Amino acid sequence: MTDVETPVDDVAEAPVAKPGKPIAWPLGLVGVALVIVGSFLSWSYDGSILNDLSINFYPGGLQILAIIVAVLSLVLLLAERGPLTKLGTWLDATLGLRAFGVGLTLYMALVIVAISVESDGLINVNPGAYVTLVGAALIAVSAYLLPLHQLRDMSHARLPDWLEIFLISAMMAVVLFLAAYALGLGDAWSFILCLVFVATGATGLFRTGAMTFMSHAGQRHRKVLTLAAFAAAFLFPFTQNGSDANMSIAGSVLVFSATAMGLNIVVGLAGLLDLGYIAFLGSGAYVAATLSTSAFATINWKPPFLLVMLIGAGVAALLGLIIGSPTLRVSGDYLAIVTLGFGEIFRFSMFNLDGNNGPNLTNGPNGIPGIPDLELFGFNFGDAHTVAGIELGRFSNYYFLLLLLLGFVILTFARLNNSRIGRGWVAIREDEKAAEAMGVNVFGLKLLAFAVGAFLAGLAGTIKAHQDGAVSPDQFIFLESAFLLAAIVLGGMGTIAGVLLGATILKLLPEKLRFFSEYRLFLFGILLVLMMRFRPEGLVASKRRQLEFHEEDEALAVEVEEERLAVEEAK
Amino acid sequence: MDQFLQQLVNGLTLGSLYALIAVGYTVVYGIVQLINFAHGEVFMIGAFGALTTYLLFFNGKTSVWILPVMIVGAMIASVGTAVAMERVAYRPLRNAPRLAPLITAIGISVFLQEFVRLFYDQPQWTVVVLTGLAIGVGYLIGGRVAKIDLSHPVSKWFDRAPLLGAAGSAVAVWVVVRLVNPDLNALLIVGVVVLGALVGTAIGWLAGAAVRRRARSQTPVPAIAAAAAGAVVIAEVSWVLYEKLISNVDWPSAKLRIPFPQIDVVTGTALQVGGVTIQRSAIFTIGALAVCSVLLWFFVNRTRMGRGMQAVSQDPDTARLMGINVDRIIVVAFALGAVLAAIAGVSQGLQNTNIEFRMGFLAGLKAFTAAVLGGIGNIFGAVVGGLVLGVIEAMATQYIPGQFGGSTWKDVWAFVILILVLVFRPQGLLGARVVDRA
Repeated sequence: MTDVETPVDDVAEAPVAKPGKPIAWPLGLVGVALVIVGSFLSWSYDGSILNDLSINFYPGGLQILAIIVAVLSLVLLLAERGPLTKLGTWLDATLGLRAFGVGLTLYMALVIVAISVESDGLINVNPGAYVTLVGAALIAVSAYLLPLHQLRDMSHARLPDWLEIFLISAMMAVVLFLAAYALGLGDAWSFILCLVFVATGATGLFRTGAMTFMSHAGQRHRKVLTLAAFAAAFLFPFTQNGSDANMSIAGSVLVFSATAMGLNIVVGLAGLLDLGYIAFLGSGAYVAATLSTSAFATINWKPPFLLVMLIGAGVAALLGLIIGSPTLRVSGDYLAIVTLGFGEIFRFSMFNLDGNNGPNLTNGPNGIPGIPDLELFGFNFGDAHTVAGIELGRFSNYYFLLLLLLGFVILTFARLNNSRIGRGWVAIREDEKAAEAMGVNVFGLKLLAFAVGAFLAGLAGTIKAHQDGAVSPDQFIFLESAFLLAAIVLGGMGTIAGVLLGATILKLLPEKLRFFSEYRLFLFGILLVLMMRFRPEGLVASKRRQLEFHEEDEALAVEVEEERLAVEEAK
Repeated sequence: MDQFLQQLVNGLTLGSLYALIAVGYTVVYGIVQLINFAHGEVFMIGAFGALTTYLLFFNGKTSVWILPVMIVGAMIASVGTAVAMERVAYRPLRNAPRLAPLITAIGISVFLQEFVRLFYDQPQWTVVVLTGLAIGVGYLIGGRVAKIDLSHPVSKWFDRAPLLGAAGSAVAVWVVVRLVNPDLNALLIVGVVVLGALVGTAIGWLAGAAVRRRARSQTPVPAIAAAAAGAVVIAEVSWVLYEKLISNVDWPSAKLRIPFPQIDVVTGTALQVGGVTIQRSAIFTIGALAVCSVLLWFFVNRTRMGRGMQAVSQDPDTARLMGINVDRIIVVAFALGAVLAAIAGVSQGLQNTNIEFRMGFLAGLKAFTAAVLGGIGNIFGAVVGGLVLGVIEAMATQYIPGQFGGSTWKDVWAFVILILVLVFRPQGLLGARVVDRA
């Protein structure tokens, strides 16, 4: 049964530089021209769908997206041959162009499907859409005919400082603009198409190496990057014109991200699999609810919210210690099951403590509704107010507070990660026995990871209780823990950007794509399995982590080792 | 005293159920050191397999001879699920870090629950699943004919491309024709099958030619043809099955609890022994556990396969050197657990009189607790652990005084026991192996 030949060394199979066909370049130009011309023409006969694509010479939103991709492709084509060839020695124009071409073709195919589904059949597709489709296909074909280049090392690419800073800020602005645009899209098809556009653009930019440059530039101007990202997130409510619908989604995304980030310390850094993490969020939320002025609150002591936050987080951390101190002796899978059991105990207890089956603390299955809005320093979070002529509603207020919280959580994560403690955690994750032999206080550090993670989740929980206005046991089921874990796995364990991305994807998509809510969990299950099978390190993976999952990958190992040496030399 | 005996009986019934499921955890753990977190779902699938068999073939009847057929149906469903899950999801991850299989298991769990729910709500989705299955089977047939080991570590997607292309495009042709005209006469059906097989073979061959330079092995044309023909035939057969069987049944919605069929003899009026009430289904459950334990003991200690299992669990590498097919042993372990879980599923349905697509989660967790209690990896530990856990739970509801007694807290006590056991006696009651796995 083994007719399979012995493996050939993969390094020998590196792409042989093929000479390109002379027709490729002009073909690409024709493609770009067709896309732009087609996008100015009408795509659909029916003006009421996809935000009106039916008017000639007045491109709608989706058409502008196509034009943007075409312009980017033009830049790459000109980098290949023409006035921008200098750029071509740095950027891998061919690979980027392939991504753009294929992505745009897919995009146009989906547009045509969308038009024929939303109105009645293909008859409603106007010539403009076909012209654009042909143009997109031509770009793709030309990209596959173009030769591949030897490139210079991107880490040597430098621009003047002011330009790099400007580029970083511009990138954040684009992200902000895209987020506002995508969230503003009402119908599901437009949203999906916008996602395809984002995926195409991102893939193309990564393939060309532009993103590698941006990440190097980001490393050089770390503070600018952080500040720009934070500013973009801060400005987001101002793009919504006082609409609460998107802000409530954004708020829940932030709570989810902050919790996932806390779990990231436990799972991503210390490598302790916690399947009952939602219980810590729940304990924070329950503390805030019982100490609030809600009519259903069971404790008659009403401390100010800042104190409540500390109490909630403290209770969560205490629970973390209580559950952690005996169970951290067991490791791996067992720990996962113990934490899972703990999560269930928490839920059952909240369910049962209703006065009949125990002391009345949580109001049982009904939970505690009617939690009033926060009031901090005389400012009521329920009030709408106007800043610079833009109205900011209730959810925007919570958004700002949650943004501060997320900033705090990220800061904690980053500082811990780069400290002695963080290195201890990573050592434990990689090899517990070796770490212990090297003098790492394994038990103490594990316990600390548990407590810190629980503390952060409890903090998020106290705000969540006020934002939602109610807590009940069924908010804290096991599936929520699984979702948190999935956000980390999807994004990339132990990374910041990855986990934020994963949390956003997992929370945002179900909210925007209501029509697939029936299949949401089904697809979620498949996604987890496929992810573990084909890309266990997540979408955004640190190189180290990647190596852990692909031990046989020699090239990657060499790369990681070189990186490590470079870092040591720099010291 | 009566009260005590009553709780003992209740506890043993509950415990037998846990024990039947727990064996699945422990067998798999003993051999691959993997907590098959999705095993609770296998139990749930068993119950639904029995229900599906009943709805398909015997709807409305209650005679006792239906029960064995239902059990067989349950076993087919759960063994199929367990083996497929091992093959598709766990085997590729065998050398991955510990986290990966666990997360996969969560994924499988969610997937299976939703699959059952969607199947009962929208049975037309079975067609999609069956077509996917047809492609898979065609691919396997092709692999058999070609005598290529497609799961060999160095084989890549390029090796699989011809067979997958053949099976996929053959089914695609069939689907297109079916969509254009759903009602074909017999002659046309044969025509479609032949057409699908031909087109599939052609495309598979083209795919093979396209990746010839990258593939590590060549797939012969007869194998490609076999893949295409097999896939399209299976697709057609499953379509007929769908039309004749599945679409004729009025499926109850799985969003609510679904009533489980009541069968003569094993359900009905309870028996009174002294002051103790014994449900008929309880007798069935305990009896099933007794029979299964005896058969299990015989299988593990007296058959070649069972001794192979013991060898693999003691030392997989040496067992491999001794000529034991470790992969096959692992599949057998999964199947063995699934068989017992299927029986547990039927018992659960008979006892509770209704089943639900979410019931696998809690039952699985409890059964895992039982496996740990008995000492994970130790098959008879699982049986003992299950019984002990069941009795403790029943006694806790009865004898814990005050507000924390009563049935609402019994799940909490079970998990407290889990934590206590893991902390103070991780090797379990019967003690099998030292638990120190990262």
